[in-house]
Amino acid sequence: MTRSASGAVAPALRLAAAGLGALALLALPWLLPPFYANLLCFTAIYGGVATGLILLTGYAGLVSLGQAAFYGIGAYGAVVLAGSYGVDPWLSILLGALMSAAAAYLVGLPILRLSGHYLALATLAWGVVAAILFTQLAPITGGPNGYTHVPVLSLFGVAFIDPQRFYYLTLIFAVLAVASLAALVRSRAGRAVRAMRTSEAAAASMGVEVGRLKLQAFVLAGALAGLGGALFAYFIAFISPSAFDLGASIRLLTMAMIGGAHPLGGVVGAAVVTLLDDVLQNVIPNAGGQGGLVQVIAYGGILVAVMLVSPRGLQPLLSRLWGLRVRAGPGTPTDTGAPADRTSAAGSEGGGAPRLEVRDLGRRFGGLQAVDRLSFGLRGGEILGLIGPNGAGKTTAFNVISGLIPPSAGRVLLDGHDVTGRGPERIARLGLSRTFQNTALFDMSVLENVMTGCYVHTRGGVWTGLLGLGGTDETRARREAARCLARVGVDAFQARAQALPVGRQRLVEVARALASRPRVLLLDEPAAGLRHAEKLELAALLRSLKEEGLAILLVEHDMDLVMTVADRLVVMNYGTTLAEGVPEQVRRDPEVIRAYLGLDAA
Amino acid sequence: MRRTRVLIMGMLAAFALLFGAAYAQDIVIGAAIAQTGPASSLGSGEVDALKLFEQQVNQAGGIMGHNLKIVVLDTASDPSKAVLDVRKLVSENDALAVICCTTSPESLAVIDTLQRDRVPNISLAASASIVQPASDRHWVFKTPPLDSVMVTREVADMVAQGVKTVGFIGFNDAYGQGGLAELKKAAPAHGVDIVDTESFARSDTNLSSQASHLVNANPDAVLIWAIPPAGNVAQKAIQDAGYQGVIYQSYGMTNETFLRLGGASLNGTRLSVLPVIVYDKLPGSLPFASTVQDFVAQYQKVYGSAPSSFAGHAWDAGLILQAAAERVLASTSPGDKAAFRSALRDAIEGLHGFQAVDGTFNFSPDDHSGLGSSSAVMVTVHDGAYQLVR
Amino acid sequence: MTIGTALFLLVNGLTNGAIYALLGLGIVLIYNVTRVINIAQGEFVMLGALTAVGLSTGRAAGGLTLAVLAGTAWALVALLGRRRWRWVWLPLAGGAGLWWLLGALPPWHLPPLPAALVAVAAVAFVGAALYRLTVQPVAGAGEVVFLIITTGLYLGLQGLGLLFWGPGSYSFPSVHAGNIHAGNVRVSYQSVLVLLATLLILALLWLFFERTLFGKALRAAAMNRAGARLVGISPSRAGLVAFAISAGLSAVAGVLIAPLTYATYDMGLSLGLKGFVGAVVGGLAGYPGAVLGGLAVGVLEAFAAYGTSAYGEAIVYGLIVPVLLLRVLAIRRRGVAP
Repeated sequence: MTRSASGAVAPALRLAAAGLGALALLALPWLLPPFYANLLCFTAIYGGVATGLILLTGYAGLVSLGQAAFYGIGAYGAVVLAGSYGVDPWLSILLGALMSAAAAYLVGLPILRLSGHYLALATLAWGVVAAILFTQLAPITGGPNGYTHVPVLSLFGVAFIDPQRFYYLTLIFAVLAVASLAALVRSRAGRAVRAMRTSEAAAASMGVEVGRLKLQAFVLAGALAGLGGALFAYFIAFISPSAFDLGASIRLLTMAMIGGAHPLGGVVGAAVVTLLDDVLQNVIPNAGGQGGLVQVIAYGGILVAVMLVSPRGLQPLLSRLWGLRVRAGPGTPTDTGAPADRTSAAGSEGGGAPRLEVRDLGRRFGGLQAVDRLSFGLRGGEILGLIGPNGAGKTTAFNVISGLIPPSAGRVLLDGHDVTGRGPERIARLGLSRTFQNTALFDMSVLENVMTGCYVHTRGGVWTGLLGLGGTDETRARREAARCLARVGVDAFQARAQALPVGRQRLVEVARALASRPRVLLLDEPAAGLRHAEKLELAALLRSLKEEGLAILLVEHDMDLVMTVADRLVVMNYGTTLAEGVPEQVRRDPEVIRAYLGLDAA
Repeated sequence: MRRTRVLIMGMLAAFALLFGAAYAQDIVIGAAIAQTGPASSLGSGEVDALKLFEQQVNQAGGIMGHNLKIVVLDTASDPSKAVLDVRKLVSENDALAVICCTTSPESLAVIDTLQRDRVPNISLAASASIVQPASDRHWVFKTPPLDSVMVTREVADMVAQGVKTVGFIGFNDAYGQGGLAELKKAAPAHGVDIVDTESFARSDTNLSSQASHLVNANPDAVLIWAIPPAGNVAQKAIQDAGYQGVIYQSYGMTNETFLRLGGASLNGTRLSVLPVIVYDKLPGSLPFASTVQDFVAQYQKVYGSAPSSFAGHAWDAGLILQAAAERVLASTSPGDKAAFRSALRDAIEGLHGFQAVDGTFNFSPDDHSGLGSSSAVMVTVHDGAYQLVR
Repeated sequence: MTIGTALFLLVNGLTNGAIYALLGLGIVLIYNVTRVINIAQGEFVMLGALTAVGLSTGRAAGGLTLAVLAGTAWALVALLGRRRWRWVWLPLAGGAGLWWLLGALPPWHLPPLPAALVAVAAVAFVGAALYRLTVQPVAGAGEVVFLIITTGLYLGLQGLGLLFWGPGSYSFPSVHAGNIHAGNVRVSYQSVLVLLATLLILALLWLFFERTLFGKALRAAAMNRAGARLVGISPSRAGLVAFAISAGLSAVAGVLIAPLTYATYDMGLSLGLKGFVGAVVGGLAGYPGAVLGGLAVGVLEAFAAYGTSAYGEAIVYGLIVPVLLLRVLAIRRRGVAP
C-alpha cells in the first residue's frame, strides 16, 4: 500500500509545483527588464504555433515545411478583416484562426495522401506558393511593403499594446495550446495519432481511420498556427510577407525539433531559439559589423550540435519533468486472468456458416502472382493453420484479407458480408483483428499499446481528447487492456513496448489484437522468438480462445505448435493452395513434403 | 513575493542610477541595420559609414563635448527582428534616436513602436510610405530621396531621348514595386506608354523568359528596377534576347558591383543616381558638392574604396542627428530622455537648407523626406565609369 | 509566342535544368545511400562558384580555408573517437600550418580551368568532412532529424560564405563568351558548355556506377544497406563517398552557372530547392529520374515565367502537388507491398 501513500503525496506536490509555476509565469514580465517582455511574447506565440507542429511532426510523424503559410493566413486574415473591413479585432483573431484551419483542410485534403519526403516537399511547395500570394495580392495584403493599418486590441478600455500586458494574451494562447496537446496525446484519439506515426498499417488494422485523423491533426496544427499568427500581427502591429516565408517555416520546425515530442516541447523549443538569438546578439561583440553573420554561423552550428547530441531534442529531459504516463488507475483488476472474463466478442456459436470466407483470392505485384486463387472458410471456434515455405504468399494473403492491400481478384467475406477492397479500418470495425510478422508495436507504453486495441469499441475523437473528456471510455479501455495483458501473461504495463524482448512483444501484440474484442483473429507467426515455456502458454491461450468461440487464422513456422493447436491446415506454395485438410493428413501429403524439403526428398 | 519584487526593482534602480551616472554624458543613437539576409549588401556600407561617423565625431570632441555612441544591431533583413531590435535599442540601450532601417518593410514595421515610444527615427529606405502621410509619421524621417524624385528624373530623360514606349522589369519586392508604382504615375504624365511590366524575385538566377517577353513587346526603352547582381542579370538577359533600345537602370544599382560585373556591356546604359556616386564630377555650383567630397575622402581613407549610396544615406542620418543634437543640447540635457527625444525630433523637423551627402534637406511638418530634384543626377555608363548627362 | 521564342525558352530552360539536374543527382545520391535529405545541397554550389572565383581573381581563398578547418575537425574527431589523445596536437598543428600557408602565400591567380578543378576538389573534401562530422554520428536517425541538421549546415555555410566573400557578387570568366546565332535563335556558348559538361558528367557517373567495383558497391549500399554490410561494404564509407561525389557535382554546377548568373553567398538555397523539386518529381530514387526531373523543372520554369512573371515561381511550385499525387497513385496502382 506504499503506492497509494506516495500517490497521496504526489498530487499535493504536483499541485504546489503547478501553482508556483503558474505564479512564476504570471510574474515573469515584471521580474525581468522591460525589453524581455517582448521576448516572452515571441516565445509564447511561437511556442503555441510550434506546439501544433509537435502534434504534426513529433506525434503524427507528418513533416510540414510550410507551416508559416498557415501562420501568415491567420495573421493577414485577422488584421485585414479588422483593419480594412472593420471587423471587431477580437473576433478577427478567431476568424483568422478559422481561415487558417479552412486552408489547412483544403490543402491537407490532397497532400496528406503523400507521406515522408513527398509530403515534406508538398508542404514546402505550398509554403512557397502562399508566400508569393501574400506578395502578389497587394490590394488586400499591402504587397511587399506589408500591411500597416493594424488596429489596437482593447478590452473595456484597456489597450493591449504594451508588451508586458500583451504577454498575458500570448500566455493564454500558449497555455491553452500546451494543455490541449497534453490532454490530446493521452486520449484515445491521441494514442491513435501516435500509433499511426509508428505504423500506419498497424494503426489502420486497429480500426484507426488514418486519413481522417491525419487531416484532423493537420487542421488542428493549422488552426494553432493561425491563432498564433493573428496574435503576432497584433503584437507587432505590422505584417509583411517576409515573416511568413520558407525561413519562418524552417524556424518553426527547428523549435519543434529542439523541443521534441512532448506537449511542452513547442514552448521550450521556442524559448531556446528566441533566447539563443538574443544571447548571441549580446554575447558576440558587433565589432567591425561582423556580429550579425557570426550569429548566423553560431545559430547553424548550435542547431547541428543539438541534433547530434540528442536527436529527440529535449524530449527525454521534459519527459523526466512531466511524465504524462497513463496509469493503470484505480479499479484495474491487475491480478485477474480469470477465464470467466469474456475477452472477445466472439460469440459462442460453433459450426454454422463460416465467419471468414475467402474465395479465389488473387494478388499480383507487377509480374509476380503473390497469391493465386486462394480459397478457404473459417468457422467460429476453429483454428485454421496457414502454412507454407518462405515466400509462399502467406503474409500477402493476410494483408489482403485484413484490407491493407486490395486484392486483384477474388472476394473476402466476413460473417457473410462482402468486405472485398474495404479499408483495413472498416474491416477491423467488423470484428477482424490481427498481429504482424515483424512486430508492429507503437512507440508508447505496453498499456497504451493494448488500449489502442480498444479503439474500435470506445468513442471519443480529437475534440473529446483536446478537452480532456471521455473519462469513462478511458477507464473502460484501461480495464480491458489490463485484462488482455493479464491473459497473455505480461505485467510490465509501463515499460516502453518496443524495448521488450521480441517474445514479449509478440504477446503484447496478441493482447492488443484481443483488446479489440475480435470475432476473427489473424496471427502472423505469433510464436517466433518465444521460448519453449512461452510457446506452451501461447498454445494454451489459443485453445482457450477457441473454446470461447473465436475464429483464428494462424500463420506459423513452428510445426509443433501448428500441429497441436490447428484444427485444419491450408498449405500454400508460390501463391497457390497446395493442400488442405486436418494436420495428420497434410503432414503425410507428398506434395507438401516436396515443397518443404525440395524435390529429392520426395 | 511582493518583497522580492521590491528588492529586485530596487536593485535594478540602483544599477540604473549607477550606470546612468557613468554614461549620462553619452548621446546614444541606436541603429538597426540589415547586416545579414538579402539586404546585407546594402547594410554593410551603412554600418561602415556609421562606425566611421561615430569615430570622426568623437575624435573631433564629440557633440558639444558629449561622447557619441552608436549601437548597431542586425535585423537580418527581417521586419519582425527589426521591431525587436528597435524595442531593445529604446528600452535596453536608452537610445535617444534610432536609425532604422535598411529596407522599406523593416522601416514600415518599426513605425508603430517608434510613434508609441516617442523616439525620433531616420530611415535609410526608399519607400514614400515610410514618411507619408506626415500626420501619421510624426517621429519618422528618412534620408534617401523618394522614388518619385529618381523616377521622374529618368522619365524626363526618356522624353529628352525621344522615347515613346517603355517596358519595366523589377523586383517583386518593396523596392521593385515602389519603382513601378512611381513609373505608372510619371510615365503617363510625360506622354510615355508602359507596354510591358515584368517582375522577378531577388533570388532568381534566370531571367531569360521575362527578358524575352519584354523584348517581344518592343519598347523604345527598358527600365530595370533592381539591385546588383540581379539587375546585371536582367540587363544581360535583355541584351542576350537581342534588345537594341535604350536601357535604364535604377539608383539601387550603384554599388561597386554593378560596373565591375557589367563591364563593356553596360555602355550606353542610363540611370539617375545620387550625387555621392559621381562625387568627382559634381559641378561646384551644387551647394552640397563639398559635403559629398568631404565624406568620400574620409571614407576612402579608412576603407580604401568609394562609398556606396547606402553608406551616404547612413552618413546623412548621422549628420542630421548631430546637427539636431547640437541645437537641442543648448537647452535640454540628454539625461532627460523623453524631453531630449522630443526636442531632437522638433530640431530635425526644423532643419532647413541643410547640406548633406544626398542633397539639400528641407524638412517641414509636412515633408519628412526633405530632398528635392537636385538629388537626382542623370548619368550614362561609358567604359566602366559614369558620365554626367547635361 | 513565336517558334523562335519557344526555342529560345527551351534552350534556356534546358540550361538551367541541367544545373538543377546536377544538384538533383547529388541529392538523390546522398538520399539513397544515407537517407539524408540535404537542404544544404545548394551551399555546395555557392562554395564551388565562390572558391573558383576566389582562386582565379586572387581574392581570399575562403573555400580552401573551409577545407582546412573541416579537415582539422575531421582528424580531431577521428583521433578522439579512438581515444588517441596524445596525437591531438598533430591535426591542430597541421591545420594551423596549412592555415598559415594559405595566408602567407601570395594571392592566387589561376586560369579558370585549374581554379575550377581545385574548387571542385576542395568542396568535395568539405562535403566528405561534413558527412563525417554531422551525419555519421547520428546515422540511422529519422529523416526529420537530418532535415534539421542540414538546415543548420545551410545556415552555417551561408554565414561562412558571407564571412569569407562578403555580400558582393562576382563573375567567373566564361570559357568562350558570346552567342551562337541559329536563325533568329541565340544560344550563348556558356549554355552549350553547361549542357555538354552535364552530359559528360552523366557519362562519367554511368561508368563509375556500372564499371567500377566501388561504384557497384555504392549502388548496392543504396539498394539494401543491411545486405551491403554483409558483403563487406561499410555504410559509413559509402556515405562518405556519396557526400564527396555529391558535393563535387554541386560544385561543378556552381562553376558552370557562375558565368551566367554571377556568384553570391546566398545563391545556394533557391538552386538547391529547385534541384530538390526535380529530384523528388523524378522519384528521389533513380538517377535518370533526377536528371529528367531537373530538366523538366528548368523548362517548366522558363515557360511559366514568360508573360506571367509575377506568378512564374508559384506555377512551378504549384504543379508539384499534382505531379506527386499522380506518382503516388501510379505506384499504388502498380502495387507495392507495404
